[in-house]
Parts: sequence; structure tokens; C-alpha cells
Amino acid sequence: MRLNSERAFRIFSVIVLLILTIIAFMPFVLIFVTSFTDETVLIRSGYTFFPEKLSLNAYKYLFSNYYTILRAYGVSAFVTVTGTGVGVLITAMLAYPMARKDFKYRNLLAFAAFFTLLFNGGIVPSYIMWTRLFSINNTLAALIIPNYLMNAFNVLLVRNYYTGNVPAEVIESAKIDGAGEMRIFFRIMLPMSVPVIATVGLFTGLAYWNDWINALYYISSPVYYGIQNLLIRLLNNIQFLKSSQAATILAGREVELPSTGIRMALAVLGILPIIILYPFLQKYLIKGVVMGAVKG
Amino acid sequence: MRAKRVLLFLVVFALLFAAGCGTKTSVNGGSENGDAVRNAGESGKAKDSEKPEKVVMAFITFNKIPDSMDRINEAVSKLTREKANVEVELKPYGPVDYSQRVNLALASQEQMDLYLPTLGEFASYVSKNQAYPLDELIEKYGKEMTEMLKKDFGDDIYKATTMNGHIYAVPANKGMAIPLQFVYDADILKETGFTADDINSIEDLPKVYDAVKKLYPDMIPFVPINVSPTETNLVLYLRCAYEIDMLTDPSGVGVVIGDSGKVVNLYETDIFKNGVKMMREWYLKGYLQKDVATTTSNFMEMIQAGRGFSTLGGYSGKESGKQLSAMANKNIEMKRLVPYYFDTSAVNSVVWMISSTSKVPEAAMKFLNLVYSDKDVLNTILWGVEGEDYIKVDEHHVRYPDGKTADTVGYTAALCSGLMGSESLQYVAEGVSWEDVEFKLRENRETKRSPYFGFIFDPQNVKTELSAINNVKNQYLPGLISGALDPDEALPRFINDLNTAGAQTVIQEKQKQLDKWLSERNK
Amino acid sequence: MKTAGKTKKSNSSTLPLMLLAAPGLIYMLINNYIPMLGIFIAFKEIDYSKGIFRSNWVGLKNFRFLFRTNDAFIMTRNTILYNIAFIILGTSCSIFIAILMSEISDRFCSKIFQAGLILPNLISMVVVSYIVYAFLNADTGFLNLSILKPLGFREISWYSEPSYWPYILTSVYLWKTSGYNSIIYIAFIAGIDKGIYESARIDGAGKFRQIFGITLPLLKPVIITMFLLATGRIFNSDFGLFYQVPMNSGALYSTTQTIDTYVYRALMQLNDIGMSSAAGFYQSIVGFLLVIGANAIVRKVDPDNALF
Repeated sequence: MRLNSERAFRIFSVIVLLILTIIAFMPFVLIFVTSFTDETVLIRSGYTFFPEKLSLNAYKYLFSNYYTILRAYGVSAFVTVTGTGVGVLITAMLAYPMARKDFKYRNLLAFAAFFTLLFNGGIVPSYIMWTRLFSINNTLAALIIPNYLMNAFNVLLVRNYYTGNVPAEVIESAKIDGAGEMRIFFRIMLPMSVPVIATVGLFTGLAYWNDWINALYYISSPVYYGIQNLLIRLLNNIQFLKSSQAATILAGREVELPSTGIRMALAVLGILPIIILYPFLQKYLIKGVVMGAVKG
Repeated sequence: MRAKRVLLFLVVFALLFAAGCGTKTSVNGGSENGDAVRNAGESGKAKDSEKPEKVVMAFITFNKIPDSMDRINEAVSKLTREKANVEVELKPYGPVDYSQRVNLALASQEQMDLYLPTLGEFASYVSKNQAYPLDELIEKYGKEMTEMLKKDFGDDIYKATTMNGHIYAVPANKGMAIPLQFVYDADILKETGFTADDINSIEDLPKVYDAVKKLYPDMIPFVPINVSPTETNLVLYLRCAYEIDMLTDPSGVGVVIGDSGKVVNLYETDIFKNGVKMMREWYLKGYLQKDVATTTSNFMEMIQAGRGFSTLGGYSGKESGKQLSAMANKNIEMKRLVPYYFDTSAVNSVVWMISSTSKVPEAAMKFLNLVYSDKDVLNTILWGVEGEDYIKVDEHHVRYPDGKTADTVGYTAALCSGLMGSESLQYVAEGVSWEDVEFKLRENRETKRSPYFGFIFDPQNVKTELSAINNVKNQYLPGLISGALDPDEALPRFINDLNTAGAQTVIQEKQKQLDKWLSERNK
Repeated sequence: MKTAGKTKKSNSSTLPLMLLAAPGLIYMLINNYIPMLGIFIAFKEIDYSKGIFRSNWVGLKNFRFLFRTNDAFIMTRNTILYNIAFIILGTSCSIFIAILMSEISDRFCSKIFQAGLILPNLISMVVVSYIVYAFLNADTGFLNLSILKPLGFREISWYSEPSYWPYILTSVYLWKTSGYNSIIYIAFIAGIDKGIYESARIDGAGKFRQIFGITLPLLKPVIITMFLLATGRIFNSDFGLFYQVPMNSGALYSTTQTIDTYVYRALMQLNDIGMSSAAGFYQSIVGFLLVIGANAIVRKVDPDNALF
């Protein structure tokens, strides 16, 4: 039975979301168009959706080094997939005990996790620990392990989901049937929490893909640059070369000065893979959402 | 029950921490590489029985960083092993992370023996004890280097890096005079009917700008040379024209004009007031663009796009116009407006230090000596291996191998030539004039030194005030020096905020240090 | 039994549960807690020749620069007010979007909208600042050139007028994050048993009744959690948003300066590890105390939803 208010609301939703989606996409379209705009036109008339003159120069400059870019994509992809896979798992594994009301340490763990969100010692102690104690500098592990593997925000999110959306009776009956905790976790908790797992997976994945800081501190060989790190370096090189400090050092030596168009092209290169892959990933997200809805 | 578990947790925790500490101290105590048999007293002769010590040198590079530095490290080490029994590991970093990496390495006691402090922060590095005192080392192992420096700059070269009676760094040996030049599009100037001879001082510029505006109403006559934040070089102009010594502190609060010996706030002087008033006039007359204080397009971009006419920039030598022209694809020329003025910070911006925690300072100095005095070592670092990374054209010039550019060649650090070694020994790219290099070095000797050349301000006692002052400066200065802010209204506010931030305290501290330095010098 | 209402017994599931939690705990210990000890740097004056462990203790000296300035009040006020606005508006927008999204059953539409949700968050603040500049710059900005001028209004020099920026920055913030955050709420709404809606419908409840009577109350736990987490970061701010987007324009400091931007500007040339560590510590401690307070209040009112 479809009520009138529901139909009206549905139409309302579509319209509003359509508007919001356009607002969300528009800047990206502008970036995309600008990356194909001729440089002189850009400086003369600013950014526009309908440039007078198009040019592939920005991409030509970037792709003259296509091997570097492809390799960077590879590094980012590997790091993202591995990090997300492992990270989501240990996040959920930590969240489950915290969600069990009969677990002795649930509040202690929750506090311990939460505390990490507020206090941190800064980059210096982390750097010392990771490079001296664990010697991960200049390895792929340096891109995966520090910072992004698990964070308390996600843990608390998953915990919340467990406590709110997984009835205690389900766990009770499983235990009565003789299931051990491991089994309960893998056979019951995980499948029942697909929406939040997918969410945490998405957040973690995006965090890895967008990270450029780990490489900044721990990587010295370009072999391990991820795509965002590469792009930031290129961008920064450009900015530094244009600064007054550079003027005294370079004293007018010949330097290729890429441009606004290139900045935009860099942004496009960083975002495009996600836009392309997202529809395929969405299959899982939607499946999860739908599955969650049809819960027995 | 529960308490026990918590206690157990803490104990494990503490153990891990202690283990961490332990590892650190053991690393601190021992030697990183190359069990060193110290070459005490020997300067340069390799002995078969002694193993070469390893030196790590970090530098900032604007070229592409190769995937692996092994090949170049070996090429350089081959030379240095022979000449000084030293092995070298080079660590190039890009501008985006160079400062951070060096500071982190120093803080974590990683081996980093030779490095460039962040440009212009010499004093701050010394007061944090990041530098090794070099006096003895230079005496013993740096003779050739000192010779080169004195030849190319003058006998007073080390004054710029002497603090509290010790030499803490070695300046890069290059042409350091960057007099203020009027940089302009020569084709457009021709159209206005004016010639370079008509332009001899900054007061001559407005009439040229008026003519440009008449011809091309949409063109911006004066574009800032740098942006983010906007820089018009007004302060550079004032410095050179009125002989202002910045006392090694870029904040500008606390300078000395001429030889007055009195420390004043640059922003309170009439010189500065008249300067910003002039810029304001220029701004109102339309010589600068409306959004000059926040624009992201600097001079090079504007002139390339045909939207900009000129700027003021500090460039050394006479050939910079040619190089800019090549970059911008326009006919760019320069005319010197004022001669340069050496205060200490002009010379100690680009310097080399040995880390205070280095375990091999003698070896580091030996290597540094080679960088400054040995043509082969220096050029291998800059250009790579002959034949593979560059091809020699004649005694001074080189070029990239056929089909390769700076981005595709195996290794190059050509853009770092302004950072290291002696310019007189460096190879230059084909097409760059060698006479210009010699001219620049000559200018080193001829440029006037400030009477306070050698005074270096130690900021430790006024860190708090300086941090607040920097904040205020960032707020007002770009707008004032570009004429976007009205000086009658903004300048008093600026000065007021500076005083609240502690400007007077800084000035007093500087005066105190200056007086002490003067009295010790005159003893 | 120790406290009323809490059934905490040491039972046979404690060990396996601890084992499950172990990897996460170990990671937290290594990644977060060991480096956290480095907070002591905030209380030292670092002398590199001695190393960080043997440098001198200087008490609260490194904290002075945060207070001895005219800007102390401005930066603190800005940080807090923006955060409050962001929390309230951001959460409302995200929930609103999430509820709308749950209405969409058409797969194609859903995919497009979902892509739109995360897209703004993928664009880095630097690039966002260029876009905003394209809109607002005095010379060739879209707003001045194509909207204000044709309509006969005076052109505004956006980057010199502080009063507009709270609105500008809040809009940019909402644009960038509300879609991304709404995903959380979408996930939680998805976890609600649809049968509840069915019975409500049978009882004659219209859409609004359903939203306010079912959806929102069931989202309460996650909303409270998000709120408490945000409270802890009340002294922090998105550096990119407050530094890059206003183009680092000095004229806008009065409405765009936050604690993070101030620290950056103050320490840019000083490069002092102790002082930057002190700034971080200051932000953390204030946030921490606030959350403890807020959590205590929540625990009194609605104990199940307290963070800990």
C-alpha cells in the first residue's frame, strides 16, 4: 500500500538529490574542462566551462613520463587493496568484543580506542619509531602500516552498528548451539553488518588512495611513490620553482614552468580512477544495503 | 583480579617502551657504517690499511630524482676514495619534503653528515645546536676550499657564517649579488618609444607604465614577481637603495640603516612609508591588477600569456634576461636600477653545515673540501657520469646526450648548481655564457658590504614574539607592498599590531646583541 | 555483582574475544600509544646535539606563543564557532541526504547519486581553492563578471572582505563533506528492519511520521557517537579549508584564522619542534576535557549511548 505522502516524498527526494548531485559534479566538470584549456586563454579570461581554445599540452607534459605515472597507479592500487583488506578485518575484529555487553573490558577498550583520536605525539616520535625500531623506511610496508590500517573512528562506528543492529538474541542462540566466538564473528557478525563494513571499507580505501603523507616521510626512492604523492610533488615543484627563494638559487636558469592547466590535469589524474572504478565497487555497496534491508 | 590485569598490561607496555629506548641508545652509541679507523691528521692520502669512512650528504634538488642513487654514489665514491679515503652516499630530496626530511633525520639521529639548512635559517639551526663547529676542521681539511672561497668572494667570506666566535657553515661559492633589476618585455617597451636609457631609477617607471596603458589598456604594467604570498620586491628595492641591513632576520622588525648603529623597526621608518605610498599610487593608477594581493599568476605566467609587461626582480649577472626569454618565449630584457648591498643574510642564505651529531666530521669536511675545489667530484654530483648523463662540449660547457632532456636522462642535478660547490668550477649548459659567470664572481668582490657584515642575530630569547610578529607580517605585508591596502589606514594598524606582538622587545634584544658584537669586534 | 545494571562476568568467552581484539589492540599500541609518549617534546627545548631525550625541560615555555598574542582570542573563537556550525549543519545535512538516498530504489539513479556523494571529498582542498578563486576573484571571477555586474550590482572584492567568509567557508565545508558523511547514516538506515516501517504504514503513519518516529530515533546512537567524537576535535580545524581556500589572504584573518593556521604561520620560519608539539598538545587536552564532560552528561541522560 503506497501512501500519498510516500509518493510525494519519493519525488521530492529525486528532485533534491538531482540538484545536489549537479552541485557536487559541477566543480569536477570545471576542473576537467580546465585541464584541456589552452594556457594563455586561462590566464587571460580565467576558468570557464566553455573555453575558447582547447589544448592537450597539460596532458602531454604529464604523459611524457607515462611510465612513472603508471607505476604510481600500480603502487597506489596495491597499497589500497592490501591495506583496506587487512584494515577492515582487524577493525571489525576489535569492534566485536567492544560491542558485547558481557565482555569485561568493553569500556576500557572503547576508551583506549577513543583516546587515540585525541592525543598524538606528532610526526617526530612516530618517525623515530617506524624508522629506527621497525626500519620500514623505503618499503611498501611504510605505505600500508602507519596511520591508515585501523583508526578508532571506524572501530567505534562498527561497534555502534553491532550494538544497534545485531540483536543479542542471535548471538545467544548461536552460543546455545555451541558456537565459539570465532565462529560467531565470522559466520554471523560479519555477514550481518555488511553495510557498515562496506562503509568502513570505502573510507579506508579512499584514505589509502588519497594518502601522500606516508610516502613523504618514509620513502626516498621514486619507485614507491603512489599516485597522489607523485602529483603533490609535481605540484610543489612547480610552486617552489616559481617562488622567490628559487629565484636566488636558480638565478634565471632554464626551467620548464608548467601551468594552471597542469594543476588541473594532476587533479583529474588523481580522481579519475576512482570515478571509473566506483560503479563496479558500488555493486557491493548496493548489495550490502539491499541485503541489510532484507534481514531475517 | 582486574587490577592485576591492568598492571600486567602496563608492565608489558613499559617493557616495550624500554626496549624501544634501548634500541635507540645502542644505535646512538655505536657507529652506523664503515668501522672507522680515524684518519687523524692525514689530509687526503689514502692508506691501504684504512677503510674509507662513509659520509652522507643530503641536498635539495629540483630535477627528477632517480629510482636509485647507487650508480652516482659509486661514481662519486670512486673519486673520493682515491682523493680523500672517503665514501659518499648522496640523498637528494625534492623541495616538498627536503626540510622535513633533514629535520626528522637530525631529530632521530639518522646519519646525515652534510646538509643545507632551510634557506635563510642559518641562525636558527645554530641556536638549536644542529651544526658542528667547523673552525678546526676547516683549518685541517678545508684548505683548498677556503682558497676557492677567498678567491671568488673575498677574505671576509666566513664572517657571514660565524656565530658566537665559531664558524658553523660554509657558504655556497657563487655570485651572490642579486641587484634589483627592472625586468620587462622589450618589444612592448620599443612600442612606447622609450628606451632602456630612459630608465635609470624607480621614479622613471610611472611614465613608462602610462605609455603602456595607453597602448594596451588591458595589459598589467607591473606584475608581482612571486605570488602566494604576493611579492613585489619593494623591500628589496628599499634595502639596496637605502643600504638597510636586515640583521639576518627576514621579519623586518629590527634593521639598521646605513651605519647608524641604531636598530629600528623597518615598517616605522619614513623610507618604508614613502615606499608603500608610492606602491599605493601605482595601484590606484592601475599599474597593478586589482586582485594583486591574492592572485595566483606570477610574472612569468602573465608575460607568457601576453597580459603582463614588467616586474622588479633580483638577478645576478647580465644573462638572466636571455634565460627568462627562453622560458617565456618573449623578448625579455633587464635594466639594473640599484646596486646590491651585502648584509650577512645575503651571503648566508645558502650554506652547508655538518650535523652536530655526525660521527665522521673529519671525513665530512674532507668531502666538502673536494666539492668546493675538485672539478670532477663537483660535476659528477651535478651532471652525473660523462658520456652517460652528459656530453662535454668544451672546457666549460656540456649538454645532454642526443635525444635526452633533463627529465629523461639517467641522472642530473643541474638545477642545483646554485647550491653547491664553486661556481667557477661548474660546467654550464651549452648556450650559457661563461663570461657572465666570471662577471658574477667579480661582482662579489665589488659589491658594498654593510658595516655590520658578520653580525648574526640569535632568535632564541624572542621566539614567542617572533612567531606572533610573523603572523602579523603575513597579514599586512603582501597588501601593503602591492598597494592593495591604503597605507594611511593600514600602516598605523600594522605597526600597532606589531608592537602588541612584541616588536619593541625584539628590537631591544637585537640592539643588545649588536652592541655586544660591535664592542667585541672593536677590541 | 559489582555495579547495578552491568553484568560483567569473567566467563569463557573473554579469552577468545581478547584474541579477536588482539591484532587491533597491538596495532593501536604500536601505531598510536608508543609515539604518544613523544608528547613530552612539548615540554622540552630541543637541542639537537643532545637529542630529544637529553634536551632540557622548559616547563610551559613552548606554550606561551599560543596565548601571548592578540590573535589568541580570534583564533580560538573562530575555531570553536566554525566547529559548532559544522557539527550542527553538517550532521543535519548528512542525515537529510541519507534519508533521501534511502528512498531511491532505482539502481541507475542510486549509482549516480552515490558517486555524487563522494566526489567532492576526493578533490583536494588546494584544487578546491582554485575553483573558489575562479568564482570569487576580483578580476575574472565568475561571480563578479557574470552575475553581479550584469545585474547592476557593484563588484565585490571578495578576498578583502572578511564578513562574507564564514558563509563561504561553511558552504565549501558542507559541499565537501556532507555527502561523504551521509554514507555512514545510509549504512545505519539500511540496517533498520523494514518490517517496522511496514507495521507503521499499516497503522496509518505517513512519511513524516515514519521519519521522525522510526528513522531518527533509531539513528540516535550513531548521531550521539558522531557528536561526541566531533566534540573531541573542537580545537582542531581543516588546515586546507582555512588556509588554502582564502588564498592565505591577510585581510581575511579576522574570520578565517584558526588555531591550526596560526600555528603554521607562526612557526613557518622558526621550525621549532617543541612549539608545534605544544600546540598539538594544547588542542588535544582541551578536546579531551570537553569530551569527558560531554560523555558524562550523556551517560546520565542516556547511558546506553555513552562513548565509554
